[in-house]
Amino acid sequence: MPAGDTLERLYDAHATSLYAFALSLTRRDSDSRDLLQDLFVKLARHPGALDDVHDERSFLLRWMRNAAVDLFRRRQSREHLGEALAEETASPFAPAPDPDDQAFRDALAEALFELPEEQRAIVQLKLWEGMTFEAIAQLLNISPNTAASRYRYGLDKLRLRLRPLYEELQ
Amino acid sequence: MKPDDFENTLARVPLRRPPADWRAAILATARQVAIPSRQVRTNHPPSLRGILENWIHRLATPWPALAATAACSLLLNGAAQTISPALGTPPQAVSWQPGQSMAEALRQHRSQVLALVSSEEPELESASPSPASNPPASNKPRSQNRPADHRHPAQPAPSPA
Repeated sequence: MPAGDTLERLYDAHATSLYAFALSLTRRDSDSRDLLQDLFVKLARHPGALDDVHDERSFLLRWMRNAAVDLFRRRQSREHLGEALAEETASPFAPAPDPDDQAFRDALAEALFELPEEQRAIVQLKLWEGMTFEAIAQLLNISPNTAASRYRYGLDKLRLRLRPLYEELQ
Repeated sequence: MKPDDFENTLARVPLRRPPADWRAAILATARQVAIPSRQVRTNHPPSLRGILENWIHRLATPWPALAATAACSLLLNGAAQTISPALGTPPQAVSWQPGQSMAEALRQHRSQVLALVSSEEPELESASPSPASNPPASNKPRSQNRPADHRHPAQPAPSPA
């Protein structure tokens, strides 16, 4: 089991990225918190899970995505039963003091949520985690070319959607 | 592929941090859930595999001694099987042969018995009358051979006429 200080170190080092990735995948603050909680419980229950891992961030992001996929499956079954949750989406971006910046960030969050999940995850990992296509492909079990093509499709959609605001900011 | 200005602008947007109060709650829950899971695991009834593992682990030291004992018994058994043919036939199959002194004593005992039997035969013949010396039985009934005085009291005496 990771020691207490190890759990704290992991939280301080990766919680922001994990939380933002969870928000990007689930769009819901409560789900993101549950996923983050489950991930650290899993870390506490599996001693040595990170012993042979050279890239903790990629490893933990993979855990987060797998947990989110499981959540989607459970939610689909619930929504088929007419129990769709009515909760406002939460932005994965920090609030901005400047109203124009905040408007851009809100628009960016909306445009991001409109992307298909496979494009959204790759854009998130590429732009805000700085991962290479090889690392993204390994994390998502796809080829690097597929990761690169999905990224370009997603980025073009964001560009088209955010062009007016982006030109205003420039 | 070099990122363009649009990508750089997007990448500079800071990510939202989780609320500050989550940290203590998430870490405390992780620790609490992890420790009871260990306790529950130890409180479960032990499985057969666990029992065997524990037993073998506890007997790790006597195992070599037990193996050595088994090897010794096997060696002794094999050695006994190779030695027994050299000893000859088993005891119950050996015919009994008396010794020289015992055979001599038996011979003397037999000769004495024969001497005694041969010396006693004439005396026996002289002491007992031979069947040929007995008088021959009369052909009359035994009632007619009786004397006259020995009649039955209930029987009337024959008349003189």
